[in-house]
Amino acid sequence: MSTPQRQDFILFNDQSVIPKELNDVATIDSEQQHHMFLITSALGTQPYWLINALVETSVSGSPLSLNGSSINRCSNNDNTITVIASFIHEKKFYNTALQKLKVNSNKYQILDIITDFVMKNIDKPRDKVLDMLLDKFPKDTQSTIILEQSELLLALLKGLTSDELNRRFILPLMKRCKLLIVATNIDFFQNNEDEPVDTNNRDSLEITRFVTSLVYASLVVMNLRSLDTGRAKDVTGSLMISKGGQSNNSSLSVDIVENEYLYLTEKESTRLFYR
Amino acid sequence: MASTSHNPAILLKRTLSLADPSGFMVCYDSMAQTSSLLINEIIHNISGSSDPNITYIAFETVNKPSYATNFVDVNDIGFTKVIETVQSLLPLANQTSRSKNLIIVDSLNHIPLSHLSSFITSLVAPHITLLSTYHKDLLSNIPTHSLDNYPNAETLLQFMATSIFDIDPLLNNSTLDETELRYSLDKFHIPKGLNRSQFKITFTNRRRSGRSLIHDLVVDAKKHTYDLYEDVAEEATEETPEMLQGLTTFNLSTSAKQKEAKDQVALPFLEAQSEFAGGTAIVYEYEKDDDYDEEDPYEDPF
Repeated sequence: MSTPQRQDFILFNDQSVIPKELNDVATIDSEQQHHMFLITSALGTQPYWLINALVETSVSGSPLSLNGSSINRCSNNDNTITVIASFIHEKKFYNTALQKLKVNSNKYQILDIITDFVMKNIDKPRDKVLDMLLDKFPKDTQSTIILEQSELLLALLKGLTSDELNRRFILPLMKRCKLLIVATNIDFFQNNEDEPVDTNNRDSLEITRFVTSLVYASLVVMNLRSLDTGRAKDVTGSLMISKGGQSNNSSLSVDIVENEYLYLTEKESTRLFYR
Repeated sequence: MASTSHNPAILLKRTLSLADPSGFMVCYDSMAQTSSLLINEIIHNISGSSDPNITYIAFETVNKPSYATNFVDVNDIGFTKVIETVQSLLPLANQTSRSKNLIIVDSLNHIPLSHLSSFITSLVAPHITLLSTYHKDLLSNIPTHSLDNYPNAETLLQFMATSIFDIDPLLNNSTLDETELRYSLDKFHIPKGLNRSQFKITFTNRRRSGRSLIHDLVVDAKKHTYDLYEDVAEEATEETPEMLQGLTTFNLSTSAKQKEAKDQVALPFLEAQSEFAGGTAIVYEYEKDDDYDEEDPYEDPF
């Protein structure tokens, strides 16, 4: 069998993942613009390689590990910082992964937000916990923030609603940076395949509302999922790039390239193919 | 009927340029097609008029749109102060300024149901147009108050709105049908080809008399054109001989001669109709055992 041609990972029609326009001075009428990318994934199709590639892009201009020797190797010399905050992984996890990719460790920062989270915050009011969490992020409006599985907060803070989480955490966080990349697990919706969402179940209602609002707020949605037909040796899953709710609202002159890739994650690397 | 002489596209154009007084407009949108392009269309239509005053009330938008004169971020000032703030930004009703006053609300979904009607009524005024978005697919919260028979937000807005734009993506040239689309959106597998510049709206225009006109239109946000929506799927079902070719090893098609013969077959019900062409009658014929009594009214009606 012939191996299919390896494809470059691009999100915008100027062949970039994070367009220069967004990177440069993200201002319009001297007002800062803020954008959001959304990654949705499931257990069988974890988004770590994609997050790593996005960190790499944010730091060095293009996803070198994914695209191989890419032509548009433009390094970001400015002092923008990339912040990674995960609710399921400790510092070491991303440190090791990014070191393997030879990403300049001065350009990114990994926040520890989950160690003893419950122990520390057990009796505190929700608003206060969210404010404290928010204060851990640098107030640098040129930064890129990557947030992994923030939907866990819905379970970690008693009585937290999706609206509150959005209002008090996600939107303020978006205002702190120029690009917020949110990775969310949507396994929840795949377990009960053919049943509609149970609107009397508070948990499922809140998480559905949360993910829906994220889709509305985002510019690009990257959906990772396994093949409908089951497992394959040469394909791990598919990556669908589609337009989010803000795609028609953005001030960017570049358009999103909607695409479906197949990807194969092997021991150390991930490769993309066209479907 | 007066409405048949009306051109729906012109009516839409008038509504979008705020030429007709319409106090409260609602855009029902979804992830598949958001209302932003329709709002841009309104902005495009009113931009020619003497500088419009546009106030944007943002519940979920972070970036101030370039067209907005005032930008009110609800998360910064808190929901209770919104109306106060907005009203201080608006001109008074007795001021005879000719400019158009537009208030845009991104998504009424974030207003608690118990506050929704008071929020709207406190902003709508004769000199102000309130343009709001409501996401159809954002599930509503579990109601906290115990009014069993109170309508949900979507129904409530339908009662209050003077113009309703129900926005859907155009699925004509896509591989998905409506059910598949809903199914994949429910699972957050967002397919390609959504949020395009061409989309379908179901436009409900409510007259002052209470009568509403409903039209399906296609809006092209790039060319700024509005056309009547035509359902192509239904037209394409007419059978042609080519459709039957190559389906089976049997010959399913009919030749011209066979077709002619088929047309000449007189169908039985057609003959039955021609017999009593002048109307129907019941003819009663006496038989030898019949005992007919003229005096008895119940014996036989004839």
